[in-house]
Amino acid sequence: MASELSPQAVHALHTHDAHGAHADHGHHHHKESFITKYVFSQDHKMIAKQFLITGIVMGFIGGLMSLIFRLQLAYPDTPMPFLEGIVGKWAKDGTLDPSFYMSLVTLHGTIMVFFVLTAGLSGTFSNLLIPYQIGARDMASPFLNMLSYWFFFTSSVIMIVSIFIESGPAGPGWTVYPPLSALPQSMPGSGLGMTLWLVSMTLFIVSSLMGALNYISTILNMRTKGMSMTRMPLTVWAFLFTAILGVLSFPVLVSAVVLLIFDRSLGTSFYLSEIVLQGEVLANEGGSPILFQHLFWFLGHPEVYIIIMPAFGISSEIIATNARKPIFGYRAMIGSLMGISFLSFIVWGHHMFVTGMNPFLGTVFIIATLVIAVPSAVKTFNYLATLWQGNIRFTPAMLFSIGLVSLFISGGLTGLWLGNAPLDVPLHNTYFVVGHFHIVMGSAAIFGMFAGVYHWFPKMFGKLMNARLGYLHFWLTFAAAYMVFFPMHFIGLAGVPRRYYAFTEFDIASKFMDLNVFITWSAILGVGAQFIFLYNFVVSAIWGRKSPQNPWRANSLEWTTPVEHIHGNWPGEIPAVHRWPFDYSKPGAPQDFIPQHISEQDLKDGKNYWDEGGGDDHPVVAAPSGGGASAPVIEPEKVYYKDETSEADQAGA
Amino acid sequence: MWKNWTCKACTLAVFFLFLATAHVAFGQKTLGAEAAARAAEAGPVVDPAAKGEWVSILIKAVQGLGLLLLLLVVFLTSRLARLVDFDPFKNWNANVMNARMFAVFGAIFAGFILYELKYHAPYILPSSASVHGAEIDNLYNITLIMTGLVFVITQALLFFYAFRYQNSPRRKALYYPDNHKLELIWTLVPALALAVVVLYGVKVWNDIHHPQLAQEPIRIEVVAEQFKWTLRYSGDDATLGKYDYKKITGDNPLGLDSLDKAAHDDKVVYTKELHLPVNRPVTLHARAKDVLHGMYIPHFAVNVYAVPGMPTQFTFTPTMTTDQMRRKTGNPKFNYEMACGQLCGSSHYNMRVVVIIEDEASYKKWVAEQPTWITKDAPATAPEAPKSDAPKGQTAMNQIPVRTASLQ
Repeated sequence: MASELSPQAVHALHTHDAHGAHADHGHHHHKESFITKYVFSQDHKMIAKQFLITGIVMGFIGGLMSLIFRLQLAYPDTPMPFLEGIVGKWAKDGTLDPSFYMSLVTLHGTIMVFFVLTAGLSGTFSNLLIPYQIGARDMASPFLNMLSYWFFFTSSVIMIVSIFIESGPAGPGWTVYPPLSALPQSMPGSGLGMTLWLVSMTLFIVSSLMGALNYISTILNMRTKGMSMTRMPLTVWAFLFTAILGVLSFPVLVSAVVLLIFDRSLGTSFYLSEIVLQGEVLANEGGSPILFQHLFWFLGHPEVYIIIMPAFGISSEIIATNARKPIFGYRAMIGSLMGISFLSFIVWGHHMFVTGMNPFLGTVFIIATLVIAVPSAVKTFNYLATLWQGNIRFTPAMLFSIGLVSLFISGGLTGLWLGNAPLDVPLHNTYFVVGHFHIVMGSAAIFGMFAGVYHWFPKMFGKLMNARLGYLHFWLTFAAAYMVFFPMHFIGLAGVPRRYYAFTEFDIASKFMDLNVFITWSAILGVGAQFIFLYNFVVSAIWGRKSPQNPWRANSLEWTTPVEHIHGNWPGEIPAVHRWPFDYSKPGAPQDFIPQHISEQDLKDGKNYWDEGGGDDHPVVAAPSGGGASAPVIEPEKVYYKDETSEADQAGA
Repeated sequence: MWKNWTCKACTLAVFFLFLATAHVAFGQKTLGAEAAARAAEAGPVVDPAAKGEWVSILIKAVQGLGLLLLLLVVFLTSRLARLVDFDPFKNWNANVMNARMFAVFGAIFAGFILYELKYHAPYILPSSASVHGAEIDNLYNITLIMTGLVFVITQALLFFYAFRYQNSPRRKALYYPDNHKLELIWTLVPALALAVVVLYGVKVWNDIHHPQLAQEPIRIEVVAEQFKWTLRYSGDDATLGKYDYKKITGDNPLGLDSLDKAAHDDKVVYTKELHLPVNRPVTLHARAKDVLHGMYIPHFAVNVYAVPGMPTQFTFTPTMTTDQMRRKTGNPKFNYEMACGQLCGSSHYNMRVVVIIEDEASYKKWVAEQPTWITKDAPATAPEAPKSDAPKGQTAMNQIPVRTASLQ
């Protein structure tokens, strides 16, 4: 336990340059060059920003791809010549090539699931928050951390490069089921593009493992004095379980990918048997395509929790902070995260109910899958109980967190349908599934990411984001998320399979042409709204209003660090922790929050912690940024809080 | 500092852009006039195409500049508004606004769901037209009611709490970190409710896979490949003959084993129609030749992958003929459809087979009309042996390689 060592000793043990306590307040012994500071940085804050920015870039690529295939679905018979200007030969005369449609779908899924919602979400916030919130000067291994980012960066570059190769990017869907993905002749997207996909994913997994090992060892070993496990913020708990899931499941995907590479390149038959492709009898015998699905979903299902759990952690923290209430049932929240993590390893088969798997296995997977609904329900009710009798401040981060809860409910409930094998039979691989996972895993997780960005933007860039643009961004995105994905459930209930290039060939599908147009325009609205975010992000990062030290009057340790980033996070000693992170609106306290580093003695002494470092410039609801001189600063003391406990305060003083 | 600088720069930029636009617009006219003058001098030999190109380039330039101007105007207006301290939302309390938005959004969300239920819910599948499908429909209804109830309650609470507990200076949040009794309740109640659907789900799942059949099912093979289906019905022997994927050739697309007599009278059907009798158990044996496919017939809740190297099957009993369904849905053009349920390549979206459910007599008639594997490809010169007399083995001889045929 780190608590037995002094913070200095911990620092000396664990940071790569052990120059003792930072008595020099951010002035460094060795000057860092541009390269070591911004490019090959080993500082967790810079790496977090690198992950975030790469994630955002990938997110826009993935999002814009979805618009191209949404346009195809809305107007299958209308040539759109402008598409030729975007995707070139894949849209001759404005008609999208069906195999390129598959490639777009594949890359959209891969990019969103892995590059945005795994690396962009978990990578960003684990890096940023773990050292900050547990009171560590950096990660256990900053060098490994740097490698983790650069592996991720390389894999992103390879994935992007694969878009531009002649035979087109990978096309067998993000799940890359063989034999389609194993036989280059079976579709254009199964050629070089598929090879690059596999290489990129292997590098991605290396990156993810390095990150996860680092997160686990940092959390377990480097907590500051007093930071017992049960005093950790829920974000850190979520990152811990996420990292454990990643360490245990990603290697299985590596093995699946390596075997697939063997099948593709070395003529082995792990996944191939009895195949006659385009009139040619192949020699492969004895393999099983279903084996790949088992291996894939053994990662794939924990993967969806790898995506959603950091979002849970972030939203728990933000909801408690902005409802000015302790999170309801802290231990139950941890318990449900733990339960979800454990169960996520024994439910992968619910993706495979109709693959011809032994029906008995199906029974087992029904039970395990539906058991997951219990911890999920507990989480939902705890969120609701946290909001109940709260005093809610609607910062953009809070809006997105509430949006997350709403989406999680909507998407989680349809999970009860799909997880029940008999109901899955008519719904498997239909638009119902598309609607379900885009709401529960896609939108909910990305809402968690937005919430995190709005909330911790001051910690990353020392600036505040424009709140009004944030509100606009939220309401448009929230509406668009439901407008796009809610109607898809009906398409699925009508029996329309997913990954269809056009709805024209089937009677069950063709009646949805009007709905497809609606969904497409909603998607355009939704993606368009993200440009508001992009503008806000860039402009605020450069010209935004400087943030006070603790803009949201939050309890966790990251807000005790200076606004300007310094190497080692705290200029002096790392503060010791005296309480859990959720002492909001505690009766008898002088303010509606008591940060973790405030001891009972400090309270008795009447220490003025709420003005620490922030002076009197405490905008609770961030004012518009962009250099506006007239931005209304809402001071919490004046507007929101009547200091009802001021007598106690004065008595203490 | 940067503010003033940008303002000046933008003003200058706008000025120059304005000049440039005016010049282009004015220049276009003079160009046009000159061209017209020249055209008048030179007579009618003007290249209209060249002129058209010029004009279109100019028009595009003007359009582009106009767009730029518009953006600049928007940008400058916002700058100006800030400079003169004009802010229409100045007196809005953002917190109150967002809280109200939750109430408004909740109402719109409810309206949207009702709208969808009115206009798009009728598009969903009618109640399943198969025996096990009816059981799935029951489970569907139970789950729908349960999840629907939870959905409405929790979403309503969420939106209501967001609105109700908005920040107020008059109130302080309640410090309420825990209540074990409450947590126990909302652990156990969902657990019990789930136990119901799990148990029922497991029962239905077992019924799907171990159906109680009154009769031996008709066995039909459904073979998928990129991007079509081939069907195989058994002949009078009610047995599907053996196959071997290595025997697959252009003439023998399913790789039937000519040494297996049961295969000789099998009927290989290439039409895009799958005929099945009503109220009679059917087992569809799915097979894939190249990559994964999915045998998905939504109206009967039939869905199983076709896997290369691993035969799969689905047994079900259709309960409504196509005609009955046409009457029920009021759509005279209604057809049951079989789709490919697992991504199989570029034309995955285009593997339609019409499933025709008919009475047993019509079904038998249709099957009888289908040529058997043997006679189908028989050479035109082969003697037309009377069907009743010719032993099966002998007919087979016509089919198998020429050497054998010549022996006969």
